[in-house]
Amino acid sequence: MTEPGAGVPPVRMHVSDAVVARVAAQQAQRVPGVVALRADLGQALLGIAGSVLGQDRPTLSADGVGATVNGRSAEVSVTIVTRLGHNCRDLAQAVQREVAAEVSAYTALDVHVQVTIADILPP
Amino acid sequence: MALNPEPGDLPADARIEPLACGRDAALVWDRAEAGTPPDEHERACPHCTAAFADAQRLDSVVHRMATQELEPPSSVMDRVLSAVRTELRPHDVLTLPSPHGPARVSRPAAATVLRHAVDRISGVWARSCRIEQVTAVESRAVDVTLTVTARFGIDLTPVTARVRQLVIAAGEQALGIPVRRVDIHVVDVFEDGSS
Repeated sequence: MTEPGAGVPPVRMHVSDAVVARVAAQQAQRVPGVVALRADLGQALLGIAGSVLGQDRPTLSADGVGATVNGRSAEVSVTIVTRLGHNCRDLAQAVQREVAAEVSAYTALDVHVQVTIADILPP
Repeated sequence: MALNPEPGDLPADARIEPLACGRDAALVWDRAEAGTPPDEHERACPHCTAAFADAQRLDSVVHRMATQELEPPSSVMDRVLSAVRTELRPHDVLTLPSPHGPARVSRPAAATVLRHAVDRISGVWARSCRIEQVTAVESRAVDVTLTVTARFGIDLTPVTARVRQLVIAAGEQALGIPVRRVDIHVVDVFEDGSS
């Protein structure tokens, strides 16, 4: 990435799981048809603990998203809730496409996205 | 202070300085917390008095916070229950066709969608809805088994044909999964006015 002999030390960037998860969560929420992200039990309990203890963390939420960075690639799993009236197949594919594009633009990683629709709310 | 390692195990800079009068501050704190009245030296020594007062101030703050009533937000129950439900059945899912990798939808949620489609027909109510995915088929087609109750006196043949039609349409339009077979069991009849 850097030219040898240019006098510039090579920069090695490592993106953490949390960065990938937060970027993925932000993008997933913007896909039309996604009503909410569904936190797993650990995330839900942490969120409740935070709100009871009055910790209003100004961080971006990554609830409902799991991410693992492995070298140059990242595995992302997103759990979403939708509303009746959106085609589940098309929605899942749109989330996969848009989250992968956004995370990969932000982190330059090769991203694979797994989507689970946990619930479909009545219209 | 039983958990403290021996002073010899600590690096030199981590060792706690004794108070200016030579007493160990930790011992003074321990005695203050235990409610032991200050001894003769502690009453006279300004360093020990200060340490004693600090310990009591901290103690009172801790007690005040411990007695405070915590008000959990009203959404706690909902959030925990939905998380528990998601956690309990992580594998009860149908696979959605997708070129981008694994995509799935919760089987109970998909069944709710199909039951909802059936309930739009007047004269029948859906009861149970079982969805089995045919894994061997590339299109991810499903077989649906429904139990319904029908209004007494209704002609079952056209109604079940309509149920079948709507389930297939809902599978394609709402879920995006082709329905290969629909089995309908009429398990009961109801009278008008009751449901």
